[in-house]
Amino acid sequence: MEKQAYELHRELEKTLKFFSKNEAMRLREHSNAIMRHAVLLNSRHMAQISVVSYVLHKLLTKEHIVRHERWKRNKVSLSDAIQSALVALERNELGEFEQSMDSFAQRLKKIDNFFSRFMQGLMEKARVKCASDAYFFGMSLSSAAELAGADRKKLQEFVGATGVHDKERSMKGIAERLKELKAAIEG
Amino acid sequence: MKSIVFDSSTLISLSSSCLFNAVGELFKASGLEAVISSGVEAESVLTPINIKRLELNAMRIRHGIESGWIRIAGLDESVNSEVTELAGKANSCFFTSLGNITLLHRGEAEALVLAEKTGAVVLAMDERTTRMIVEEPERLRKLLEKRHECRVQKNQAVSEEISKRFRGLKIVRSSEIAVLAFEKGFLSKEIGEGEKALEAALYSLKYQGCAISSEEIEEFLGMPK
Repeated sequence: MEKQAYELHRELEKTLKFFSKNEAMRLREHSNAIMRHAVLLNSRHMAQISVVSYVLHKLLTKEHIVRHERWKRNKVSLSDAIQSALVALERNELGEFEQSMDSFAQRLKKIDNFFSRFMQGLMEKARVKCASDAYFFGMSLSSAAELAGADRKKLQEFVGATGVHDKERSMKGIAERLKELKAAIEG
Repeated sequence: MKSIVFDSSTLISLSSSCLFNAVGELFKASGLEAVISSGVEAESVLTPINIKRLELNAMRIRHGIESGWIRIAGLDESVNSEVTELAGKANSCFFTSLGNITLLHRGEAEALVLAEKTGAVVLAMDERTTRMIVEEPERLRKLLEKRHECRVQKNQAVSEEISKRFRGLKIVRSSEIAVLAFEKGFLSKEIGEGEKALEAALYSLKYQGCAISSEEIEEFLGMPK
């Protein structure tokens, strides 16, 4: 396997392992760790694995989904899509990997449509959450949205609802910037 | 007429709140214009206007364009290559053992170049990373190091080149524009007067994603006026 495919394979394999063992919290931690790596590498493929890990975490935390009689079948279906992506990576076929990721998203959408009461899908929410992680790791809003495939506006709203900006106080406060604004437009 | 270039982050914060028209009134009364790039127009009007969930914001911004306080500036080929060059430089400012850290999107670099080319007096940008690359690159390096838990180095020459190039450019957020609108009485029709109204406006912008801390808001509200 080439280096890039090898790294993607290693992380996706962990995702599948945690999912098969129903380790929801480890999936969440894994998603976060992968996104950090995705930012450093600016790797959209790595970000996709982060999104998949997060969405599987969310699924496992939804009682009405995992306790449903359909769950066993749904879990196999999602695992099969991940398995196909792993096979594609073993063959260094990034195009096929993407197709398998699309197939995963389609399968998830069917599950989501069956169970969800919300207009915004699980995948879309996961993309926004993972993009907010990318923003936390230093990327600009637009870069983070692009990396995780999230909607730019939804990301900005989501980031606003988190405490990230409370941890990053700007060097110049409102008063100083206001003074500069007034001087620029009135001067 | 003096102009302020708006990045999409500021446009989103303001148009998502009820302050947008009041800011429009402020601009008209003060002889100001908001300038956006065609890329920002595409991102904030042309694409979302066809998506039901995002249509209202897009309509608000389109109304701002139609009523004349927002102007769209197209970028020609030579400027486009400058944007590409700036984005490339900004994305080589910081690096780890794995290589350069890509931080900036083309759209954010476009806002900086547009501000430079149009001779704008101010750049309005709610997004924090671009602002920090220009204003406080060393703090951004430390932030990256802390968040990634690894050594992050700065390409000093490139970083200084960017800071020097945009040194004269004043960067504000939607929060400062809202305070100005408040002080000049343009928010009273929407949210009334008094400190509580200002507090509500600032927190609304914060929750729309403007990069401002609660501490900054509280500190500003507590200042003698």
